[in-house]
Amino acid sequence: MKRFFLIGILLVFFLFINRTFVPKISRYRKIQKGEAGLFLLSPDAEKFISLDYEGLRSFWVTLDLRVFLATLLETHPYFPKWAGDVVYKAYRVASFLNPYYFDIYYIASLNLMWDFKRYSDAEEVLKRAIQYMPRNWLWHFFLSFEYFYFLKKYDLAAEHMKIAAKLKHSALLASLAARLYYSSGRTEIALSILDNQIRNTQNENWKKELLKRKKALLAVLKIERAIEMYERKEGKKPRTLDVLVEKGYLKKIPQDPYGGRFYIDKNGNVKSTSNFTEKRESENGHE
Amino acid sequence: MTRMILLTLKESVKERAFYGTLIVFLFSIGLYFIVNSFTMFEPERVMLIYSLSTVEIISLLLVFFLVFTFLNEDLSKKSLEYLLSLPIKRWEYVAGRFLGISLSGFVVLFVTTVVFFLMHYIVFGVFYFKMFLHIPLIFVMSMMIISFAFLLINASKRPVLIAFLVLFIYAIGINLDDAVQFLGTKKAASIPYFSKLLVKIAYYVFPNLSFFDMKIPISYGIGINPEHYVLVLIYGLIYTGFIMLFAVILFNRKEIK
Repeated sequence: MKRFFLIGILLVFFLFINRTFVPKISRYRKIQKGEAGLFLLSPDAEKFISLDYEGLRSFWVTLDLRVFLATLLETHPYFPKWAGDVVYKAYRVASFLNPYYFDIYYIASLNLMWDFKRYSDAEEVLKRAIQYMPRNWLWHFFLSFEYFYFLKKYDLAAEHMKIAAKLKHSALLASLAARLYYSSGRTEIALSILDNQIRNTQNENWKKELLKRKKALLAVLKIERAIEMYERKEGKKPRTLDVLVEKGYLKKIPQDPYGGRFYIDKNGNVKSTSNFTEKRESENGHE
Repeated sequence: MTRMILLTLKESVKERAFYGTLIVFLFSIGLYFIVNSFTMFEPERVMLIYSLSTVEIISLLLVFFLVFTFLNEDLSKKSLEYLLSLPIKRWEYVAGRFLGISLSGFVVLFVTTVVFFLMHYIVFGVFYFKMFLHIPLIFVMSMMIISFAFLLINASKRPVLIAFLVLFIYAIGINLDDAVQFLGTKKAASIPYFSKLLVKIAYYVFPNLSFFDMKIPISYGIGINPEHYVLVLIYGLIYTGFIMLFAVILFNRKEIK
């Protein structure tokens, strides 16, 4: 009985002291943490002090990073530039301790890409994720997105989208890969991906969509070949597609199955006003 | 020797350390659900790492406490003289105590693993049988640690010093492999030759306990080569056998006043 009484007193004491001091101290700690970032040693040193529990430490570092980023957004309207260093360091430590830990790659790559514009670091994160999780399509998809959206490296974007499509067995991703190959000026590769996808797709509606895209790309390929012949013979690039018809390189300008009109853009690439999306979208101003 | 093993097992169950470990275990079960709620993706993997780490911490803690408690009672409270006055041989005392503590550790290791195995099934609906691969590894590792304690009772009569030295050996053993790997990197170029040599000597003298850490491969189901696994266990068993042999020989020659 006496023992329970003592335990009860101890509990009351713990509650009292924590209730009195913890909110005040944690307010200061919040400010301190927001300004100083996370306290992390080098990956080697972290591994050393983690003893046998690298997996747990990796989880803890990632959790700390999430808390840190959330706290930062409470005090700042947007992430300050220096916080990118904290994200990168946390990634280096957590992925060194447990290179298979999904969360850290996800958080670090997206934050570095979107919030800190540190594209080469985000690329490094995703490449490491691919190295340790080669069967996960998501990393190839993110890397493809980074190459396409931020770095404008369409050929690399297409390569990774193709791998993502293969890993996920996704017709949609394969179609995206074909579009990226087309954007990078590699229409033949785009067509071969589409062909492969058409052969393997069971869904009839989707097959119809892929056939339509194939038709559009075949039209592009036809125009591209005509341009090549024109360049070889005339020694210059054609300004418009009409020139190709006038000089007999094309019988007529092929029709875009999406309802758009083909043209040559300022870089000399064949484009369509439909952007290979359904016509109703182009009418709504999505060109 | 069987009597000595049984005696140690019975004493282990009566020890406070045993109940302390039980409380830590109950806390860790509660913490399981909290940690699970903090994970973003692949919670089953994170919780496997958590479970295996907790099982290891609990069983090693128990083993450390039991070793310390028994050595304290036997060496400081003069129970050793009493035990040796009984009709048991010296080697039976050492081997009995060693196996008794090891078995206590094994029982706790097995029970905690089964509990986490069932929790994993309840939470994620998967029987992850690979969790049981962890048991022999931690069991052999704890035997290695215990054997060092019995070797050291020949060198010192102070249980605190022995416990400290055992912890020291554990800390070195866990980090040895990483330290040697680090020396092979460019970052280690500026480290003096003498320090490198020291690490290399330590690498071949101290037990390489980091070999027994397969939590990440087990959790992710990757890179567990059966040959590698068996080799690690054989390494641990041979190491423990030799240390215990030395411990028994030295203890037979030891003068006990």
